[in-house]
Amino acid sequence: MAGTGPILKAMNPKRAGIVLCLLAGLAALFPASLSAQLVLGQYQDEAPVGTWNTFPFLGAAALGRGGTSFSLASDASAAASNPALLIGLPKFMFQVNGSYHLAEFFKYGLVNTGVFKSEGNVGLGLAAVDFAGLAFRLAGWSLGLNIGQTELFYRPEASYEESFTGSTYRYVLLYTQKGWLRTLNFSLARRIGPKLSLGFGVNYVVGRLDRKILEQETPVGFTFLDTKAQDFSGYFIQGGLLFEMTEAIRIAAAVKAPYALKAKSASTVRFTYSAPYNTDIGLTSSSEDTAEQPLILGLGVNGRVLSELTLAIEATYFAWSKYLLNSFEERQIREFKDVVRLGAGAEYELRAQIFGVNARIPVRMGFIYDPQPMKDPRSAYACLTLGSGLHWRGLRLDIGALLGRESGSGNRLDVKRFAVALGFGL
Amino acid sequence: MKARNALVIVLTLLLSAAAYSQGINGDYHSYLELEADMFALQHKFPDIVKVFDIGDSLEKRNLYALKISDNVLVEEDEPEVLFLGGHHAREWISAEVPFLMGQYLAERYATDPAVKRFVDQSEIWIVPLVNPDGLEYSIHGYRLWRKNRRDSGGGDFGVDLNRNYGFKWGIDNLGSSSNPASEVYRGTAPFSEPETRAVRDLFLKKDFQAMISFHSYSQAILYPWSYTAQQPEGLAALKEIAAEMARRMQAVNGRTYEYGQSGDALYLSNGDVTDWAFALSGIPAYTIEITPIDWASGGFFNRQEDIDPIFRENLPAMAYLIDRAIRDYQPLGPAAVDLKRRLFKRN
Repeated sequence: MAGTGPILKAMNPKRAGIVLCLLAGLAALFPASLSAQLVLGQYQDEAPVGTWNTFPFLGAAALGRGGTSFSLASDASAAASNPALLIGLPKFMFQVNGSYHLAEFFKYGLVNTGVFKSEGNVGLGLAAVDFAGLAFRLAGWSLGLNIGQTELFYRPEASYEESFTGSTYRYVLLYTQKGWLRTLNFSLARRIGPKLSLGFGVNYVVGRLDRKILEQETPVGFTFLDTKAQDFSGYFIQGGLLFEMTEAIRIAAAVKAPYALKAKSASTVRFTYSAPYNTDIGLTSSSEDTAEQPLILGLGVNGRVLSELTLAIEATYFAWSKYLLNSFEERQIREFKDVVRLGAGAEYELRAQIFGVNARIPVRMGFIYDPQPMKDPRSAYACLTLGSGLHWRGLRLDIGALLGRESGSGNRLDVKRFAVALGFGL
Repeated sequence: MKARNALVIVLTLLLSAAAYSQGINGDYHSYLELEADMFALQHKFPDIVKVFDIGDSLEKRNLYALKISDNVLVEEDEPEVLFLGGHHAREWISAEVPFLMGQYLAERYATDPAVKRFVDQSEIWIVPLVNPDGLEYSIHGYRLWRKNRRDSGGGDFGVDLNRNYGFKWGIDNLGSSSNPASEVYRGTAPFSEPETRAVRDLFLKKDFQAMISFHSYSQAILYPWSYTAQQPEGLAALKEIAAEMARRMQAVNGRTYEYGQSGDALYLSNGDVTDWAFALSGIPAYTIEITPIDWASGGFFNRQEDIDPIFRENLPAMAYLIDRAIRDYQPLGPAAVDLKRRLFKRN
């Protein structure tokens, strides 16, 4: 019963029920579209940008052919998908990958969950050099070392400001979230028969998530500051095999073992009020939490149907029903189901001569069906992918693009990713 | 039944391990911590404490009531008193005070004659957290969240549970709002929310003689009506009890709790639990707005170290109401209970 009256009197009578605006600059990246019910996955702070299903890391080449990466090796990022693919790479290879993500959000954090309200979807663009990898051979072994930015936890910033002409009074409410997860991978692979290769990888994961809410009146009034920070770390192992059934057909399987992503969490909530009250009430806490990450299994097959044309198809199973999250010592409710992501792609290789030297120009396209783990509402992304490249002498340039749209939530969230990989192989 | 009891005990012990730990909300209870502490209390004092599951919240959290009485498993012909807390998510202290009352009564039963009299001669019901979904959002999302977590669509969330009860629900747009974005959104219908239905159903099953609904902040004791400034029947008695509660509370920490008719002294609100309970049964029904007195002094923020002193301050008010209920008790009998229910349906 109480609260509304006093707080409105003390703070600002327009706070209750007001429709707050989102940061216009970010919102302008995407046109407003439909608004409807919650995609639970977008609601959770720990959800990666774009999709929950972030394994494996996709380099530009794999991205272009429908994300198929378990049975086809194009570059050093293959080790992060299926370590057994290392045996198919050149003796020495180095690669750097950069990506630009564009993702739409509707419900997340404080936005469209009761505090801020947007008229439609809100977009966020993120650019990063997100992968660097090295592959080489040593004493009969194929080895790989790479680091990838595997998850991003950024959200479109939301803010609301109020001031009055002729008055120094200013009220602001600000919400921000940023974060990332990086995976350092060391893999090795060996051929154990004429047709079979095995690979194994160990991975160290590190990351951080920061959330901040600032609500403030100036020059006189209150300040409410809520900051939450989590430092992540963890280890997982992965393995894979590659079976060359014929010269033209290859079958692959990969596994990423479940693991505990640990978090050191810290929170500060502080309320202050300016003089003459000088009120200062704070609440700080810290905890050690875990997020039990699911088992992931991948199965892929590719076939060279023409000398220039390779087709690939694969399925990835994510055991999301086993996902458990403790945050600040409390189990969080996540009603998730297991999902299978499907990808299919084609790669056609054109040949040309550049300065009298043979060059290969792969042209790629593909499709990804990417169901999200939330039980209600059911939600999935359907993505078209395109790509191309230029392989000349030892230089390798690949580009890839993914254009996807979500269905099921009613919000038709768009996701886009553009990737460029530059590498060198001997 | 044995298996169920065993499960409850195991759960109790498991949850007790997490109890008293300081999570993100410090010494305040989260939903899980409160659940654990309630079952731990039952486990420790099984003869006088019983936890009842009175319904589910929107997000399927259990809504718990704590009954404290001798022969706790038996419905005795004794006055029943109800203490409610946690209607509004951000008013964390409002859940602490009634829960601590339950703990106080249970722990002092064996040694304190006054407490023993209360427990032996009355049935004390405590629902410390009417809005668990909102509390969790306040802890993990936005600290100043008020309502429950009803998804009204289009990015609007929440119904103000203390505008959702069935007496004079939505009588005007001053004391509540029909706008889902409003902090005082009353919902689509009286008792549209499972949380208020759970309180209603408990109230209708029992024969409560007095009630306090705890809120914060303002440092005030409020009595019906809230929906209007017009005076209720029995105003003198309501005022006299409020005055005595305020006097006893002031004696603890020296803080003055103002008292008055809610709709006259503070602001209009319709569909609140105090009006509904008073209209239904005519019992002394109060809203206590816990300290501090204003927003600048902290508003919905109370220091962790103040939780116990604030409980101690509110203890005499609750004790006084229980004492009066025992002294004034005249069993209604089954016919009167039926009458109550018919009255409710009319409302």
